[in-house]
Amino acid sequence: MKYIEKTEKLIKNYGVHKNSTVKTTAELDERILKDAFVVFQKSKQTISAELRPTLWRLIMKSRISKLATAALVIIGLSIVFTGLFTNGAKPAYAIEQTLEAIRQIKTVYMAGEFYKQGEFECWMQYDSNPDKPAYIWLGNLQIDSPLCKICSPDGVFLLNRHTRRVFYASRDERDKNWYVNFGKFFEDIVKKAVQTDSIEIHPETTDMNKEVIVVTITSEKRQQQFRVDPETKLPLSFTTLRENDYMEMARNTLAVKNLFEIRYNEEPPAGLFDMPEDAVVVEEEIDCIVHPGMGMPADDMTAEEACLQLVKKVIQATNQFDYKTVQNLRFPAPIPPDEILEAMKAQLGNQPLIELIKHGNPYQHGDMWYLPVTLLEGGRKTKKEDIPIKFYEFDGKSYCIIAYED
Amino acid sequence: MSYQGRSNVSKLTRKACMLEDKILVWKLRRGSMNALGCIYEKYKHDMLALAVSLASDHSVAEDVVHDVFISFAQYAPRLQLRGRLRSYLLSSVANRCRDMARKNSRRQTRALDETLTVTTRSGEPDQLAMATEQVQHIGRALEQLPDPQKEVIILHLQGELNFREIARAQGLPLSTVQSRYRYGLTKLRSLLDGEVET
Repeated sequence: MKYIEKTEKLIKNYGVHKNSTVKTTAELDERILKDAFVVFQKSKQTISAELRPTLWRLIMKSRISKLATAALVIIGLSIVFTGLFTNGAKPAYAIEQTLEAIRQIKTVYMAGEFYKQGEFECWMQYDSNPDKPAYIWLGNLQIDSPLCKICSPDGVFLLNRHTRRVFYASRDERDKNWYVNFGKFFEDIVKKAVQTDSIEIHPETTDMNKEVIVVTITSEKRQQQFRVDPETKLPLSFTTLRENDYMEMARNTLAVKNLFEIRYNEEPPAGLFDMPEDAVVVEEEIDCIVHPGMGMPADDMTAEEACLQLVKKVIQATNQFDYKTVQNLRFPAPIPPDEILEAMKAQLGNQPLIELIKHGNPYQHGDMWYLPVTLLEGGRKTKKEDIPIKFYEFDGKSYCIIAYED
Repeated sequence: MSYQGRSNVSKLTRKACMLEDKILVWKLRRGSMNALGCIYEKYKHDMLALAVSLASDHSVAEDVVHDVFISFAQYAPRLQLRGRLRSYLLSSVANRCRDMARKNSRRQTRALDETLTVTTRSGEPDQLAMATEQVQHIGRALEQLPDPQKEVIILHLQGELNFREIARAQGLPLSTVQSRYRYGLTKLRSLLDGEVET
């Protein structure tokens, strides 16, 4: 063993010794937790007022919402796990039990994380058909977004909870695959896992001292895990441990990465699936999506000037990986997963992600404006396009936003 | 398919721990006091051990952990965690220790015997895998290192943070962190001449 390694080993042992011998006292624990709870409580009370809506608008673009949904669970495969609780106090577990349990639920609440759009929450209410929810509510948790989408037998509508604007369509989207389907997604994963003999099941005691059954599914591309309540057999959470094919996830409109919390058979908040009585129905989706602060103020300039300035701002923010700004100025604005971002940054070095090589004169066509540009992507690839820009009025002020069509 | 035993489970431990943390952080951001308590319980000893190694004495170390966790609780509702929660907390401890050391510009000298007493007061005899003399010797050697080198070595070897995490926490280039580590180990080599056989 080299000298340096011996030194490292010695210091490591010293560290292990320290870690095993230094413990907090009950007095210290009490002092810290008491103070922490106080500041946490205060912080919680002030935070919501400061947060601003951003993110995710992509979800609402239903026409492109083909979704990689997700969720749990399960399928009728005979994957029986026995001997999990050898003391006999707990029953043996089979994945098919979870499938059966899921088919019995009346409502489900999920809170999780999409690969691109960030955190979300979703309510579903079932009547008689476990494969097709009667009502769906999908909202975004990320920074208190005001947008939510509701599907019901009467149609689908997008609601902006801040502006009380609604964009409505009479189509039935409940049997579309955009929502978090409790059967299909997970069924496919498990089927593949069974074929390759890559399911592993083990018990675990969580930090909260709760016993759960952990099911780990491994494939070449990814490794996923879900936790099951030993009593109800229902899934409690779903997590992606490893993802090797981020591009596949990036291609999907909505790809679920994690489900932090899943609750069952709770009564949804009153009126959750109804169109609010005070809502104003708008004809264009963009008028529902926009809200105060979104887009670039355009009162003090001509439309031509605004178009150019807006595009330059978005390019600058993109090069700075400032997605908060990008999402405020462009719709939709999916965020690449962290892993892809890191790879992009490493590959680019000091090279800007995108450069505006030249531009033409903005022109108007129908309700939209367009700015013809030539862009250089990653210092290599040139691309010509006419960037679509939407102007809108809100509270007497004029704003503009890049608004791509599907 | 039957249970395949625990052999593969250990491989998942770290990732599972990260995911557990992610869930805890998510709940924390949703206002869960329980999650805050769980995070403290999970990492309190690691934070204190690191603080004891970096700070001048045990009471200072306790204050460091207190300040770090209060600050964590304060910003928790808007916390955007990009790395490991453990790394975040330990980095915060290191940063706080550094700040306190700067404030107390004149470094307090610590009686090593006292240090050993306080740091092991909760330990059981059978936990003391290292001989007391050896612990003293290593502790003394670490104390003689320049603070930046000592900090990197302790964060890496005791705190188990990788160099990238340390660099991010300290706002330094990765190469600087690696250099400090290398120079620190080289100096330790001479200081621990009797401990490490060539």
